[in-house]
Amino acid sequence: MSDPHIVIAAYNEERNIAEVIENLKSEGYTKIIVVDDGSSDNTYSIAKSQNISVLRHIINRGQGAALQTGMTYALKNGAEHIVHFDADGQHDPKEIKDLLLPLQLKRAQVALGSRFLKKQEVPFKRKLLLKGGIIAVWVLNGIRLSDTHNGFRAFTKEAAKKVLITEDKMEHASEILEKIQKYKIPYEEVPVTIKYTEETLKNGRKGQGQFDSVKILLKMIMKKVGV
Amino acid sequence: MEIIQILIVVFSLFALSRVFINIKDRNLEKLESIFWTLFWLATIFVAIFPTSVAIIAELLGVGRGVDLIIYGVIILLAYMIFRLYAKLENTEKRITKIVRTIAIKNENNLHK
Repeated sequence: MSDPHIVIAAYNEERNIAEVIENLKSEGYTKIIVVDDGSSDNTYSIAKSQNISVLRHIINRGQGAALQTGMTYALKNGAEHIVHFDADGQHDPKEIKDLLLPLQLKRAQVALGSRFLKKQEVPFKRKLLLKGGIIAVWVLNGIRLSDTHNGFRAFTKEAAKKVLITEDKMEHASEILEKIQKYKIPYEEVPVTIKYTEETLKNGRKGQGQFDSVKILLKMIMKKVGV
Repeated sequence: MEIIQILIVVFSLFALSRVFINIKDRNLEKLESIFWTLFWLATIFVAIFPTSVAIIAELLGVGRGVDLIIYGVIILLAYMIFRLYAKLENTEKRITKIVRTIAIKNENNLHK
């Protein structure tokens, strides 16, 4: 099997990025692409010193934009499989092979991580927010999933070429699902664990706060009604 | 002539001069140039002959001339905000495209 390209969008992650990369390396992954989304801290130089591909957005464009930059780069470098992986250490590198399995067995072209398929404690406030997202996606896009806003995903190159992210900010999570539906790309949900630390929970700055969720929902509705 | 009429005429003349400067600098498209020139000329005309709007308002079934102007301006403003929003989104997407191209190009150059 060919080595998957792991795309990590990183914005001011100097505290976590080195460990995240090292953990991926120790699992045997070599094709790691970090997209530094215009960080103001040392994310770029720390990632660069790890001897991997590091792309740098000269100004901050948002997580969706950074992921797409990584995907475009991976496709240009002959990627067969592309994995989205979080920069803050929320995901477990050991689970990448679980995500890739349905793709390798040709059961699906996209694998979506789901934290709710696994017996895991999700903080209540987070759960409320996520369930809201699940209902919104179900109503607006007609896809019923157990977890719609999970950043742990895997794509075959065919799927990656179709799912071109144009939403620069956090709406990309819904956009990906919308494109899966639009292009009828076969997908599968895979149980994954999300590690909640104090830091990842208070990280509202990156569009995961309650207020941003409202903004994202409004934008999704506006898009649906054709504004 | 009331003071307000003079103020509107003076401001419209100023706005018209700005329009002409932008036409000279080729910042406006042909259609936009025509629209804004006519818009400010019409404003001057209405300021000097307010009764002219009253006649149109009567024809359209709006009570007062001033009401007609307010309705028209609100609709125009709403449309312009929508246009600006669409344009801004488009500009944002183009910026992302540039940033992405630079990011990929720089990384490729490092590996040459």
